[in-house]
Amino acid sequence: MSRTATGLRAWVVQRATAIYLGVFFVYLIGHWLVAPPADYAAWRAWVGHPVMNVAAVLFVLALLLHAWVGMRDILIDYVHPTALRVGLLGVIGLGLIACALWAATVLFLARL
Amino acid sequence: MFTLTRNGKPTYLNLLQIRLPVPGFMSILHRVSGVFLVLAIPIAIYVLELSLRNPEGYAQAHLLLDGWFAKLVLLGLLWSLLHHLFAGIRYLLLDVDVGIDKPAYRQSAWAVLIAAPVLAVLLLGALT
Repeated sequence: MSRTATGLRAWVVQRATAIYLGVFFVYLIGHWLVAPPADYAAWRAWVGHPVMNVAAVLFVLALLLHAWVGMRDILIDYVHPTALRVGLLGVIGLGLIACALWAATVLFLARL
Repeated sequence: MFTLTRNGKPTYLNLLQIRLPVPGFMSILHRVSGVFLVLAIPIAIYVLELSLRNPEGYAQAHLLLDGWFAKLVLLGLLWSLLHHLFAGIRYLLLDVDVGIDKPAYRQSAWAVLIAAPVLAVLLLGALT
């Protein structure tokens, strides 16, 4: 993608992921309000349910992208020394990828 | 006072000295709440992992979220989540030209600023 189009791509990614994250969170909070898990077995069955599990993995992916674009925007606005900016972007990027892999593992193990 | 960007446009981003209008204040909090939520990601995964490990872990996770300090953190995160969500919905509506005119965009900014903390307190009460 060309240099001018990357800004547009980030803009689109931020909005598309925002909609998914928003819908998922409203569902989560609604579910916890109406029918909170009764015990460990019910909680695990809910997280391990194939539909919920896949939706949660998609949520993790959407969150990874959304957090990356957001943090990148903030760093570009407020951190000007190039070395510091690149360093922070690297730390945040690696941290987010590590968190996403960790979360995916936790979600996968809940299906066993 | 301000710096020039590479293409010569002035930028002035010192948050401590700008007197922001209400939508601007709400917008900064959108960023602040976003950073809080990012910082909460590893904590949330840790609690999720603990709660799914075994019945003992599930009980531990419950205990962990029960203390007054945890409740305070949870309240802060609920506010962050709700502010970020409401401000985000407002931006999506502005993107499609809904509420973009003068009294509306100001009023919706106020609505976001007020609704987020109020609902955060109510939700914390209902969820814990």
